[in-house]
Amino acid sequence: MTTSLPRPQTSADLVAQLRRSVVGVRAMSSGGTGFVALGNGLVLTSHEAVGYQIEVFLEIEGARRAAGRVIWADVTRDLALILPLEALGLPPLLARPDLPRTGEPVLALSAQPGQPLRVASALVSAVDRRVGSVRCFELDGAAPAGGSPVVDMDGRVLGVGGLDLPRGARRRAAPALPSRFSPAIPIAALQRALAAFDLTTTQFEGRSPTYRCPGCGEPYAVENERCLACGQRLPHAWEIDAAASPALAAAERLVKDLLARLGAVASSVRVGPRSYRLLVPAQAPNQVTEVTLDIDEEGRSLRGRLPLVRIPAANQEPFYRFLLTLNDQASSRLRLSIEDDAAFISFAEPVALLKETEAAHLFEELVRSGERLRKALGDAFDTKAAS
Amino acid sequence: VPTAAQPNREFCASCGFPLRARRCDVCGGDAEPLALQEGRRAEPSASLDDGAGGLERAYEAFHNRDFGRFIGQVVAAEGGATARAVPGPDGPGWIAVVRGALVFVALHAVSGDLSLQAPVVRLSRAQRLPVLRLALELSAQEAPTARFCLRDDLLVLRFGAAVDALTPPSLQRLLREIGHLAARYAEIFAVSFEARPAVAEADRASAGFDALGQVRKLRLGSGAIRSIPPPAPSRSSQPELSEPAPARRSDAAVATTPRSRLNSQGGMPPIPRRDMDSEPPKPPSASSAALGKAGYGQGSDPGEPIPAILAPMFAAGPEATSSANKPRVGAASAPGRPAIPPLPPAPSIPAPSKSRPIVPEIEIEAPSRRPSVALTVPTGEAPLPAERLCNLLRQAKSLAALVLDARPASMPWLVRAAVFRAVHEYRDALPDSVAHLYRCTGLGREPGEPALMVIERVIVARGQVAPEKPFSVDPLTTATQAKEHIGRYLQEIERTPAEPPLRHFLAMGALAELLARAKLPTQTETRLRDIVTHAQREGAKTSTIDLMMTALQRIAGG
Repeated sequence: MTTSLPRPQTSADLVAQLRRSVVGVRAMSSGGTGFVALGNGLVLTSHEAVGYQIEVFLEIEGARRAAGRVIWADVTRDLALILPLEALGLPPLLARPDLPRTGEPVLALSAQPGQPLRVASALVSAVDRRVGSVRCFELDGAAPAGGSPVVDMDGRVLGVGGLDLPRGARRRAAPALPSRFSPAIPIAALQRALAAFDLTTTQFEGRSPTYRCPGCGEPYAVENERCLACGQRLPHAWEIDAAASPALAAAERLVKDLLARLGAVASSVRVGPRSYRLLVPAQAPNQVTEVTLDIDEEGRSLRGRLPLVRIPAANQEPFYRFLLTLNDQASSRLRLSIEDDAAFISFAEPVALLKETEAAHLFEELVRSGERLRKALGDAFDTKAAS
Repeated sequence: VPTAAQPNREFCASCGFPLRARRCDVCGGDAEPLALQEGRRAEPSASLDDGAGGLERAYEAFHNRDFGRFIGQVVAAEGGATARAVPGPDGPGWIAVVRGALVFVALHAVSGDLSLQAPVVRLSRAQRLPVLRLALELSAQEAPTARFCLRDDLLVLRFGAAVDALTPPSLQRLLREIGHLAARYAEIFAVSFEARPAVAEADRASAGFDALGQVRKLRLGSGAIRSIPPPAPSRSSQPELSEPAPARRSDAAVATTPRSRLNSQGGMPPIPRRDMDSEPPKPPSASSAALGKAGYGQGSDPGEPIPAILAPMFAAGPEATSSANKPRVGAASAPGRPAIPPLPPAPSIPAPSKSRPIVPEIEIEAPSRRPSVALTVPTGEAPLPAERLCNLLRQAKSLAALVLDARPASMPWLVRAAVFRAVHEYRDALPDSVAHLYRCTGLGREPGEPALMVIERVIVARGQVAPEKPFSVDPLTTATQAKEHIGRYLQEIERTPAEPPLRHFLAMGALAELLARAKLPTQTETRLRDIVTHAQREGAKTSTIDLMMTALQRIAGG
């Protein structure tokens, strides 16, 4: 399962050597970093990176894309294993069997989808630290992307960083201030779990993860916000703000129903206390359109938004005029707007006026009109699609 | 990892204390699970405390599905003394200053769409680009009304929704929001970009809907930006072939102006031609009713002012239609019966016999006139009866908004007209729906429900309701009764707002009711049916309305 690495001369050499084994992980509304942890090609990442998606994508060195399937998840420790559905031919990273030492210099490698590889250096600031029920070590640096490998200066994996520990901490109503210390789980503590997966890939066919409550260990259904066995808030659920109103609860339910109608689980695509992000297949092959749904603070209105095109470098006035005149078409509830350097198509409707079916129609219309407008604006103003 | 609770321990199902015996030591309960019921989804309660004070009347109107009044009340509550009702481009409208901004509220009488618009600023020449850009950036907000539109140099905030989806608090909130945003943005644009005010302060009190500028319609492929939900392939959204949509005010003006000009010039007077054997025809104008009463009343018994045309079913004798030499209309007058005032001739209906007058000349619109709605509908399959019934009911619903706003007392007459038009036109094709309408609106002998709810129900059911027992229409048993009833109808029509679609609808309803409830001489019935058919086909043209009104006046005047 492991191969011995020639000792690199510099940290740049080390990164160059390791980067092939570090991949980006992209799910419907989440993403993170993973690395090849076993000789059979299984990729270890964070549960947060894959959410509750089973089918995910792996980005290899920022260019190649490969499909993967989540076969195991440890919700309590925020970990998941992905089986690449094609042989990637990537070497696994070597794991160091012992625990890191306090003061030891380490590197954390992050490969967020669509972004360049990022390397952060840190020191191990504490070992044998407990975060809830999980034994961790601590780095004196900000958390890297979820599932990032933390390696020593010999290129051996010491642990996995960027994890949501304690689980659900990222979804508190009042999130904690960013700390300059971040926890990581030692790879040594995972050896037993990983050894159970050091099998041929054919043995994982049909295998899917079971999600267990971090509080009581009972399996839970993704649709629930709280464990039905112990009542604890599940990691994907956002803490209810004390000031939350019934209107907000109703709006969340509307979105939940809408997403269910679209074939998505709200918990999987929720990216903020009142925000949801979906990747919708675009007409162009292998392209996706990102649609975000936002509920306002009071739960009064629901906004759906889809990026269209980048603002043209010239002829902005006719472009703006055209968008504003489009907004005046009497029969439409969609609107055009601009944020930063891109034009968006969106709807913003009072929740009280929306029924689930109508919201679904509105969503579909947003996607359809977005596709058409993107093309029309591209043809008319020579604009480029915004991602 | 914590494990699940040990299953071998028992706990009191009531208080949760560990059980050491069969009974709980601390509360006396046991381990028998409590009988808990499954939960049900609940809707958030309407937040009456959410600034909805002063909307009691709006609530009352809303619960009665009286949309016109409901909107008017909410606008009045928000706009205070500045609120005024002003006819909108396609139906009733209101203008008020809300939260410092002039807000225009318009209800589309046919579609039932409500629009809220607030002019914000006019572009200044030098800084127009930053203003356009900022307007688009502000449109990205979550606020439903933060949607900027551009009409030449005028920036307008605009929001639209189906009126039946709104509630008084939601409309109030939207009004407040659009007013607040318009006032705030106007200030920002003016201070930062020297933008000019949309409406001068001095003109606010008198501003009309024309202050909103002209919407520019775009055609960007098929449905690039179109209504939501996406159009169903149903034909029900098309105007009814035989039931033209009510003309817009501006259309009505276009249609009537040339006519009056032509009439004044004597170019195309609506005087029907006459047949040699027929009675002298009368122009189908209001004045002709008086003429008819005087002229055609000759020979009638002043003491028996019951025109045979209205004779109840038992009064019509076989002689009513037997003689071609007798007066064409109302020839059923037997000796001792009053002469029957003639009905205005029914145009474009082929004469079945020589005794009928030649089809009278139908007033034609001015040369620039548009084709009727019926002609603009793509030809193909005719709408199904259920679709036509729904269109009829939708029209009634949209007219209701107008009636409720201007003269709520006319509402029962509008409902009556809708139901009897349904009885007249769809009783055979859709007996269950018509029976449902008739019974549930209270026109039968059973107590009724709020009529607009019943109408809405039938529309939602697409004109297909559960089987109903056959119903029989309460007949008009005497001619006096019929005359009085039509007289009341006429009074109501005269009192309603002078909207051609509304008058057309009510007049057709009156004739349909007469046809449904009174036993008429065959010839009279045929002529009335011809008039109804003609009116259906031609829509709310002035000439058609005049024709029907004349008929009604003659009937009522006996």
